[in-house]
Amino acid sequence: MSLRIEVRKLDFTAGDTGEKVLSDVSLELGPVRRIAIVGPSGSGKTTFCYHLAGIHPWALVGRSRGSVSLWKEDLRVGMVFQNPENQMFCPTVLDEVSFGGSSGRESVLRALAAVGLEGYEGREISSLSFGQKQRVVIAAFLATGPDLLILDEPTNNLDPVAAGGLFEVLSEVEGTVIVVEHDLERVAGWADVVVEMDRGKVIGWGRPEELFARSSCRPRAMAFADALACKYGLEPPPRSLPSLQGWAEGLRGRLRPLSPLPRPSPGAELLRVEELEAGYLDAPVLSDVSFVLREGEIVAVLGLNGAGKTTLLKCIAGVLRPRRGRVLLRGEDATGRPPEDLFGAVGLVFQNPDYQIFEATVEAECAFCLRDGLSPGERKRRVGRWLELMGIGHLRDRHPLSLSYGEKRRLTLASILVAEPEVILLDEPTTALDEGNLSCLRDILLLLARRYGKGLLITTHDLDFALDVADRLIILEEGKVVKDKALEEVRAEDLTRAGFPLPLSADLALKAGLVERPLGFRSLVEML
Amino acid sequence: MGIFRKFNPLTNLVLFIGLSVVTFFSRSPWPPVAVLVGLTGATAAMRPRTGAMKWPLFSFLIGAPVTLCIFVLSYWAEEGRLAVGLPLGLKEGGLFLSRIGALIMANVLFVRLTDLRSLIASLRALGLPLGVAFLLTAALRFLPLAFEEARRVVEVQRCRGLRRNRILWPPNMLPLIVPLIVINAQRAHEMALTLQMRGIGDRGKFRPILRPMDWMAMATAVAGAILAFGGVI
Repeated sequence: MSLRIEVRKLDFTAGDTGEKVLSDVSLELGPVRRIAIVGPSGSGKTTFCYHLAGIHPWALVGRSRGSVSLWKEDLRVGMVFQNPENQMFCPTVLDEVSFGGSSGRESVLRALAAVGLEGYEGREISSLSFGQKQRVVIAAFLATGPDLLILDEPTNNLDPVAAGGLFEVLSEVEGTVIVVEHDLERVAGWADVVVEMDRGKVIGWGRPEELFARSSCRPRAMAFADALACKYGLEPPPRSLPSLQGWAEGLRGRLRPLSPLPRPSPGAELLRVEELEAGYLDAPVLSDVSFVLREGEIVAVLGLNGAGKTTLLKCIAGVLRPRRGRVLLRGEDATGRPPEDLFGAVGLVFQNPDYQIFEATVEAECAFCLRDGLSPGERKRRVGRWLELMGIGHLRDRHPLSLSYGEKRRLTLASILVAEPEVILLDEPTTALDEGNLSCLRDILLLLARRYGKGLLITTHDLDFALDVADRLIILEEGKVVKDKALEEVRAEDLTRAGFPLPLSADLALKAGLVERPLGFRSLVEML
Repeated sequence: MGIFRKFNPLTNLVLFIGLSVVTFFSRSPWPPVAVLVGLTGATAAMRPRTGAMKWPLFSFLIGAPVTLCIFVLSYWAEEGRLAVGLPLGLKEGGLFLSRIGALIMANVLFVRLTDLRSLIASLRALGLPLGVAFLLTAALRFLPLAFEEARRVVEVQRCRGLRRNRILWPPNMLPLIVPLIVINAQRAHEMALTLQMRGIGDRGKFRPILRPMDWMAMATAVAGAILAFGGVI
């Protein structure tokens, strides 16, 4: 049964900073099954969800005012956080889903079937992929028959295939499901109602096509279609994503193809990886991986979860010793050298900034890498320069843990860049970033490559971002390089065959005959 | 190996406590050696990940020669003759090491085999308050995760130029400790919220199942412990 949701004048003031995280939030939704909450980072989406789930007294420190009514007695709510590992307690799938004791074996098995994990009962949790763990947590809540299931940015760490699978599972769930999500294209095809938040307020809600028609927050494909219509003086494009494809096909032959953006030719060789093989214990992860990275070049390594992307970066940075093969830095053999020896030549920016932040100020955190061998003046100069370039210079005296997620990511990048490495490795840099932060990251990476001549190797699931920034794409499948092509040579089939559906804006541009090869949303808008 | 999985976790707990008592209080060297060999075989049959076993085993193996030397030197000094001190030191040192080894193996096996839900039920059945039972069992699961996080933090800080051999110097421990606290506080917070939502605070839901084989195993463990404690074996 779907829930009615009524929120009246909900305020939440954080106890530590006194900041108003939610301000006068009011919302009234009739019985709806699928709700998506969208908005930039820091807009209060998670705080709002804690209130909807009724766990705010334990989850948050601060003062709440106003009311939330879900019109049901003895309401059962489940909330799936971003990291499923923090929500698991037992060694096997069956134990985990039954944990809590109130669900019978039949309802446990039914819940596992609902999330596509039939036959996984005896599997150890540690043997599951990230996406499978997420499904186990969902099943654990489903087994208790929840009236409301909330998922906070569930696709952050999932590849497109797993993310698509998750949304298929969520479509089948009985009861009301609320998803907090940045990917508006995914949301547009799934949600009955989209709620838009900004700066602690609900600024609009409605059916996806209605809301996106009147809001500045739109799926990239719609924004591209609008820009196209504006540029060529076309009639306004349709507001639903499926009809956009027909609309784009109708434009074929009517518009002049777009001229590609100029790409500078890369410089001298910085990094060469030769026939690399690596793995953990008796499980091989990488086999026969070879490629070259040059000065001023951005190479994106695409691959589904478990393809070996992070392992590749760890081998290059010296964190993991390869079993075979060589890593050459400017022609010099660096295979198996420990990361502290490669420090200054190679910089690896990890996915989760919380694993590195420990200093009391942003400036000190950034300067940590430079603690030896530089004068205080030079240290301050370098730190100031990179913090400014990352757009967080004004935050230098703030505590790093008080920064937003996007700012923390920029801080971790700055704290590597101060050592001035020539090769920069970024592990899933787009995870959990909203549109504003993604744009900012793109500009920073292009600046590093084009102006400073750095060689950047990026692992990502985000094909649209890869098509936007990369000069070359490497596709990894089960630890092997199956494609290594310059962006101008990459065809749509190369990507779809590897499990990466084309971003809708790239698909529209191809269908309208504007480009011959897939390109990212921001590049397409710039070309217009 | 399967036999341990068939037991109730409470049985496994009593069994491993009993084995530890036998190992530590028996006068003969054979019970500790037998326990160590048996548990090592059981652990090997379980095919644990090397990563999970590496650090306890590494510390044990590094410490073993030093421990033996200390025992030999002590007995040499006490007896005044190397010819007497050497065999005595090796015998007593070996016994001591087999006791420590058996304890490590028993712990590894217990953590690997324990189903948290059943253990809570069993501890509750013993009359422990829910909060205490849950604290004990959650700590058992939390520790391996915390070690894994520590390994990741070390990797990150090494990539920022922090040398591995300097990480344990007190001034260099902050880059390790602060992220660990932050990450684990976040983890503990989310775990607590999940428990709340999954109704773990409710009372009267836990029912331990003790079958005859459980009672027999527990009786054997208790009898062994009493015999060892009383100096019979």
